[in-house]
Amino acid sequence: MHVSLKEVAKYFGGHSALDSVSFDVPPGAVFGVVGPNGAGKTTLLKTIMGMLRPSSGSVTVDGRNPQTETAVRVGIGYLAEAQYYYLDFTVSETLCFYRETYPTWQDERSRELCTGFGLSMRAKVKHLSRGQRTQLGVVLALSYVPKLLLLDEPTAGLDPVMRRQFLALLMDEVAQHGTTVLISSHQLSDLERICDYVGVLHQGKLLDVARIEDLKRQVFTVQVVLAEPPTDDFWRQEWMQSVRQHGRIYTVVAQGERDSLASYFAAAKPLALEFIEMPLEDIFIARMGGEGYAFK
Amino acid sequence: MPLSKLLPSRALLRKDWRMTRSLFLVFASFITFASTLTLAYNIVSYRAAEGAWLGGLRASHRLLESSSGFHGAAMVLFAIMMGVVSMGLERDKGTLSVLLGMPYSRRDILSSKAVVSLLQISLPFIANALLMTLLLRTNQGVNFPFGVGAIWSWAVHSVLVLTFVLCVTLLASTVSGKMLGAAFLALVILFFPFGMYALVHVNATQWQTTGLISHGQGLFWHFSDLFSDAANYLTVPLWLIDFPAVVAVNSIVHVDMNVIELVFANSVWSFVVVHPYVLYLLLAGLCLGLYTWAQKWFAGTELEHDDELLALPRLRGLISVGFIGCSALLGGAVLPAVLGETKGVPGAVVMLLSYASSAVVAWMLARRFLGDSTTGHLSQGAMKAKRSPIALLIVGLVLVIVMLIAMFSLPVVVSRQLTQAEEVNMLALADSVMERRTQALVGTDGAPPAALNNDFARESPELHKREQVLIVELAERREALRQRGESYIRSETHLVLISSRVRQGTATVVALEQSKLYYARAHPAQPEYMAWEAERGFVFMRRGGVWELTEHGVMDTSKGLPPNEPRGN
Repeated sequence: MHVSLKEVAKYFGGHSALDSVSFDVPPGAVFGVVGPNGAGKTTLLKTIMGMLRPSSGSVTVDGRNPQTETAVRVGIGYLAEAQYYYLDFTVSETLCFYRETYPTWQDERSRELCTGFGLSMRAKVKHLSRGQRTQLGVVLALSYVPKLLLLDEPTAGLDPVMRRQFLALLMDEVAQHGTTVLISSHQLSDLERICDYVGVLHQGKLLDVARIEDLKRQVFTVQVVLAEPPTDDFWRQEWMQSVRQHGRIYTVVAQGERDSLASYFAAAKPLALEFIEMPLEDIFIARMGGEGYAFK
Repeated sequence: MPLSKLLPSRALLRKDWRMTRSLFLVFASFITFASTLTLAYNIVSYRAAEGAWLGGLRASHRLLESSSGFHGAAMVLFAIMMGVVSMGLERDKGTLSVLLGMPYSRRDILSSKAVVSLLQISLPFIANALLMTLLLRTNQGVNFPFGVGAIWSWAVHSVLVLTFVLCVTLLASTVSGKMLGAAFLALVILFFPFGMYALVHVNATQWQTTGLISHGQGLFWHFSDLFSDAANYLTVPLWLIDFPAVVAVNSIVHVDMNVIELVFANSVWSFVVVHPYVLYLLLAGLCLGLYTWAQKWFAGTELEHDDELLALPRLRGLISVGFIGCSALLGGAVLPAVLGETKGVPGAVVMLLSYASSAVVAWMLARRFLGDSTTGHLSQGAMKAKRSPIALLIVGLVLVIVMLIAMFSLPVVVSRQLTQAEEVNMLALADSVMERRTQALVGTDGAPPAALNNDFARESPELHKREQVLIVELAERREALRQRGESYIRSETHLVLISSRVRQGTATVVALEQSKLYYARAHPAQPEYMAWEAERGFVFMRRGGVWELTEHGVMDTSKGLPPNEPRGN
């Protein structure tokens, strides 16, 4: 499914949760949404799902508005950060409700997944642990083979083994059915492994949207060893996210093309110059630092 | 369009039924206790008192009174709870967001809830009406004071009125993000006229104690009348709660007819006073209108308002003002009574201070509970942190009160009323006592009368002694009359039951005495008999498993004493 957002804004009273957000996710792509707490990730996913009405702008899934055309939602799976279930229902009754709701429901797949996670059909949902409820959510979201999966912090509450299993299942889903996935998570290492694209959201604004490879090619940790300390102006560049000094060694988080960065530092006649590729988590922290986001 | 497209999704219907079935079971049990079981109990009692006077069968009508008073109020509360739980529970538990993420429109979600709630309201009445019809058919020897038509009109009437209550509650649920808010709104809409009438009335009475205004004068009494009219004519639940006793002998259709006449007869709408079913049609139309309105509001309500007490911000001010005003009136009614009666200007000052202090407290509470909520854009974790345990406590208290009402109402049906057999036999005993007295004016065999008794009631020894003395006095009067040539040759005495009630082992039976004393006529021009009617009260005490008649007397002596009453001469 192709997801398209154009100038989407969402206000809650006077509070802006989304501000002119625009991006496209091509069919079969895995799109990661990262951002600090309160950035608007959940609001973004709920708006795409059709649960929230955008204050302005448009959201389309395969060219249709999921908010007004409920039939579109048959092909959309949503796994929320907060797992809400009918707590008095058993696992079996919950599955039954979903089976009757989604015509594409695959009974065999749901049974396989439940067995895989070790979920008892007769257990009441209220007696499941937080992790087990997340597992149930995964079973529900994958058993009707959605063409678009919206995952809001799906691995929160899962132990490392189950987290890995979930990611493997997700990748399997994408490979087998060409499912489009939008996933928000604070586990950036996970996103780095599975995502094709990543969008950085901050205070409702989309700061970056890029392929992960492109993003990694644009942000580096540069270690420079200088014989003589340069002038203060040397370190005052817009593309420098942070600068740390240990003696003659300077560690700089820099954003830009590798060649142009190298030529800039070469002007200072470094004794040594090394470009280190950063993990997504460090890129994110650096990017947020540049936006003034930090614990104060 | 195929029918399957018009009906809500089967999955939603099953889910909604599953969610609310416990409440349905409690409601169904309540209706069954109040109707079929009461009828069965009365039939069994009747059979136990076989051969008794049929007038005692009046007790059977009580099954239809389950629509009145306490039971009516409890039924309305059940209907409110059904509406509130079906929608509010989804919001409180967060599952509404799950539903809205599914391929269901808001219309589907609300219509499923309305259909399930309507079924849960209707089924107990239909099932019980069927059972009661069956009981009537299989007990044709019993002279019931109502027929199958009355039973079914009771069922239809109750379902219609409770559907109205349900629609009001669903409407309230669409603009409130919480169960508590929806329940509060529904109660305010439905019971405002009653509550306001009571508050104004009590305040007016309180002002009366200051001596500054007297009954029937002043602004308060004017408002009191105004709200009394509103409560009587404009609030549908009153039709349930204030059913007059004529239900006993007439069908509910007749009662509704009375209501129609009360409401419409003197207005431009007088044309509807044609047939009682016009009222039912109007009520059905009103329900449909409210439901359509609820659908419209629900479709336009943003999900982000969930977790707020009132999702419609513009209602907050109105509700707050109403809450503060009502609280001030409540304070005005309660505080001066607690502080003690104070007359004159100091009394007025106490009243005014009570209003002010109550209003301030209410204003603070309104700020706390009805204030502008900003939780709409907070994450789930932050919302949980903001949830007040006090709200849960209030919901718990409301549930406890409702359950207590249900619990206490059942003994009222089963044991706190006299059984038919008891009532028949107590009346029979009272009848014998009065017959003995009247007979004393005609003549006896001279032997002292024995204490009267039957299977369920007896004359107490103390009363028997007093009656013996009185009979001697009546005999003396008889002799005096005979010497004047005015003796009687025959007497007739019947008691017709007016009411009976039980309180803590004491039963009071009120009956109308209809007696005749036939003259020994010397020629045809003389009157044949002397007849009188007198309302009498008979007090029975429960002793040794039997009702003992301990005293009795004429209720209203202002018109003089009947001939069979002693005069002490």
